Amino acid sequence: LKKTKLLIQIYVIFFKIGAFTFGGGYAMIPFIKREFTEVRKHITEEEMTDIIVISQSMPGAVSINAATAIGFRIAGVKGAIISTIGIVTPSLLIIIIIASFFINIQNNEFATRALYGIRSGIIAIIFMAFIDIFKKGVKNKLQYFIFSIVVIASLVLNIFPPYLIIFGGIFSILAKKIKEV
Amino acid sequence: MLFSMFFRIGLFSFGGGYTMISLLQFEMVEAQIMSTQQFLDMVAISQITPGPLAINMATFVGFYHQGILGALVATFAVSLPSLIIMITVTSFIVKIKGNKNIEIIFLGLRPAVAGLMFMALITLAHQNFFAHDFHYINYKGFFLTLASILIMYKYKLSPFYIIILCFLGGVIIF
Repeated sequence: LKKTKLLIQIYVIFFKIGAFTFGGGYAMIPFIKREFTEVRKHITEEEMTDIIVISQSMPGAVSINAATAIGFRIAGVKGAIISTIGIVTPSLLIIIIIASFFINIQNNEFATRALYGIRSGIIAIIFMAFIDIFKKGVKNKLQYFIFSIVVIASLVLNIFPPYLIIFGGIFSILAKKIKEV
Repeated sequence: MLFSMFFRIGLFSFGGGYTMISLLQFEMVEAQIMSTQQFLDMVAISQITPGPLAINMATFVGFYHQGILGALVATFAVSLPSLIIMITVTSFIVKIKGNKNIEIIFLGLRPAVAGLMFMALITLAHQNFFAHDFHYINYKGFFLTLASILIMYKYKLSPFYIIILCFLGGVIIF
């Protein structure tokens, strides 16, 4: 019974985090940190830092990764599943409502003009995200090389993106091994 | 199809939601399942609604194609790799931390992700600003994008407010 209570608590916290944080995964991290290390003390500061670093480096949405790891730490596999469900429930509800509405307004003249504006804004946002990722990830010669290869390969050959990501990882480790030999 | 596509996207989106944009763009726009306009609108709506960007986009695309069931399947599929990987990794947290090889692999993944992002950016910008044969150039849109970049750079405004501003800007100038 105590475990059920704990699971409900985890669900509610992640539901709240999912419902009230705008701006994606990175915006959630401060909230997650406060809820679990300061308010409830389920997890130590140090563990939390590890979890955040790993969540950012593993594939997938940062917030889902963090939720899974925290849920798992507190209540095992069940905890991991419950916290993930908690964080996605608000998205599911809100997006389904908005998307069904959106399909109907697409032909509205006012909405069309607003959407024209929003599309240009999104390009700007993706541009800023790219600059950020580029600054953090492309620093030395080898990384510039990988970056260029990926750009050229997808431009000329239209290769399936995951293959290029795998290529980056393998190339990096090969280059290191060759240097050592 | 929806399941395997989003599972794949969840598995390879290193760096979270924004990386997912480049993978989704490839799968949706290049495969002509969605038009560039629809794609950008979908990203915009996912951005201004609360919740993780990745989940919002998955739910939206899923719902758009197969209704509520599609939304559930896409969201489940995109979260599943996270669940599997994070449970495994959290169990072996200590071993991963000191592992030099894994760090080196990540050093190579990041520039690849940046390259894909660059391509997605170029493709989307090209399709938004120019008509197919360069006959028509969307100057107003270009101006809005430029203004947004300057505002974000100077005032560190969050994407949420940029979309609200562009919403108003769009209604006024288009």
